[in-house]
Amino acid sequence: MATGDYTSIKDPGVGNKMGGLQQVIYIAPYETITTLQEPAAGTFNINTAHVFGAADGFLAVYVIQDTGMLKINPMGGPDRNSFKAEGEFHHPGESDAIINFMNKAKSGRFIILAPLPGTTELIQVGNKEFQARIAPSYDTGKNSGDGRTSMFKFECFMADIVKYKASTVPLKPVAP
Amino acid sequence: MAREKLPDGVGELPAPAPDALPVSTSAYRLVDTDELAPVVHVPLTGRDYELAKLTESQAEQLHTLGWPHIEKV
Repeated sequence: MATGDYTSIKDPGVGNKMGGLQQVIYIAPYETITTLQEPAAGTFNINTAHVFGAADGFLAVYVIQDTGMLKINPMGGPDRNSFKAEGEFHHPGESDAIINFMNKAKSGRFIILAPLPGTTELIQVGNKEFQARIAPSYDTGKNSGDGRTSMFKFECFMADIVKYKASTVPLKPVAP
Repeated sequence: MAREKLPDGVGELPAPAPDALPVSTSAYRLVDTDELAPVVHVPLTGRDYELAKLTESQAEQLHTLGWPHIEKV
């Protein structure tokens, strides 16, 4: 569908519409992306994978089931609306890797791909104009609670909602 | 290239395991590889792949599901 064109939507279709996010989220430091793809002409879909340097790529971060979510709220006054994306996810415990990520991410700028359950589509949060910010936190909880948790909230301004529909998500290679 | 004569008592190297077969013997090949990172997540299967170590069964599944970066030789 071309951008700017309205079309009738008489039926929502039978595609899966499960809520929340999948059990992994993809996060890339903005400065590591060498080519940040744009939506295909006339669409709000990115169909080509972003490009990184040889040693970089999206980081896959495990998400505790039923903790990943993304909400895109309206922002701005009449005739000047845009969007603000707000999301969160939890990761169990405090491994060295997740503590390292928390300490670095609190001051970084990111492109985030949020995978939608039951589909092959992801919502992209962040673009060339605005990048996502991540606010990490940590909670030991209580003895009788769910357990120790690293928690992450993220937010980003968005002029438009954009889907990432490329056939691959390039990942950061694991060091040998 | 002429092959060096092995010292007495030293046998030929064992044949490689099936998963180590060179790409040219695979029934599948990657296409548009300039668009592919060495390690990728494929939303179609929900799995991550180190493409240099793609197995025949993984290639078969990706081809069957219509992943656009693989074709049958």
